[in-house]
Amino acid sequence: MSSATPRINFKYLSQFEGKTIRIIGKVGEKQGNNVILHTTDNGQVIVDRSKNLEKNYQTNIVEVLGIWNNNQLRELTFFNLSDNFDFTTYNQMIDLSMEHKEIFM
Amino acid sequence: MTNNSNENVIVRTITPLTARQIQLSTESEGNTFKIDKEFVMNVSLVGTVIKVLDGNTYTNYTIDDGTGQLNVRKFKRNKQNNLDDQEEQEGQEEGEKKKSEQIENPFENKYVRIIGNLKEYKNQKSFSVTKITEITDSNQITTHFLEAILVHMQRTKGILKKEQATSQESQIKEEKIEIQKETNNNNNIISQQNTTQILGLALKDKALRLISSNQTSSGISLQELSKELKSTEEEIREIVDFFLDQGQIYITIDDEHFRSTD
Repeated sequence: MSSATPRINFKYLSQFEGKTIRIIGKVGEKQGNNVILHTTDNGQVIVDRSKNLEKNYQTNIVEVLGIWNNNQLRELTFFNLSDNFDFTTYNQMIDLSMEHKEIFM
Repeated sequence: MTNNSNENVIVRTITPLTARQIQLSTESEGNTFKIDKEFVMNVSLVGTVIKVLDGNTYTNYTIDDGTGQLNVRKFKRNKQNNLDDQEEQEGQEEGEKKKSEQIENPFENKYVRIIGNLKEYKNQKSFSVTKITEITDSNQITTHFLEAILVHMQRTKGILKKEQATSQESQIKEEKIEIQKETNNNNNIISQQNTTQILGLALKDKALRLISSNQTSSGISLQELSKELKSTEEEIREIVDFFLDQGQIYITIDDEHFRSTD
């Protein structure tokens, strides 16, 4: 059985301390090895990119897959998303997926 | 559809699923799987391709959709497929696998939509890909999961009755629900008050009994009453004040010790 890497947004982060998760957001300011990600539900997440520096984000909106620990998301990989990505619907989908965890995690 | 397990069930719909649903599916009849109690054959998945293994007869993709990982196979239309030379082919496959791991497949690390066939073969699940396309509009990720949730709910809980009713009917229904909620709330408040009164009575009875049963000259203390009845001192104070007024108890060494007048 493979393990899940759940899609979440800022408000659910506290429930996933230490877990590998996916979070989508707009790429923000770069601070050394870190990048700020503005999540779909208006949160800010510090992404530690040190293990994946050779690959650059190629779009304005990305999905980062990483480990959430000590208020930082340690990036393992990321995916470029299209610029027309709708944040509102996505947030609603996340809420629904939390109500139906049986098919998601 | 028949119950003869040797015959294949034919299902013409495409069911949007999550990898987790496929991993968890155990029910099958013949070699057709059941998910959420319905037969599924053609299914769609949306996820990222994390590994590609290019073999001679098929390409193996490992897909991760956030709910789990799945190996899917896309068979190649190869005129040179010769099953007699299977051993040679397998040997070649090994070599070719090593080569092609270095060649980048266009789907690697990208979001894709996969439509394929879920089958059981020798007690193992197999997913054979009919079509794999890259997702260029990322909203398709959201809509796929929304569809999977919808289909899952419809198949496990039934189609939403509201979808069947006319808009007028559903308006009336909504009003009824509102009225019901208000009545429920009022009933709850009334019953809560009743309950408190009843519990209060029971507490007073117990308190009086405890005080009466105490035969010592100094009587029972407020603290003891509070402990025995598992209530706060303020609550006990109220109770003893009541009984004092009634003349059923009197204070002894100080105003925190009581004896019954009986």
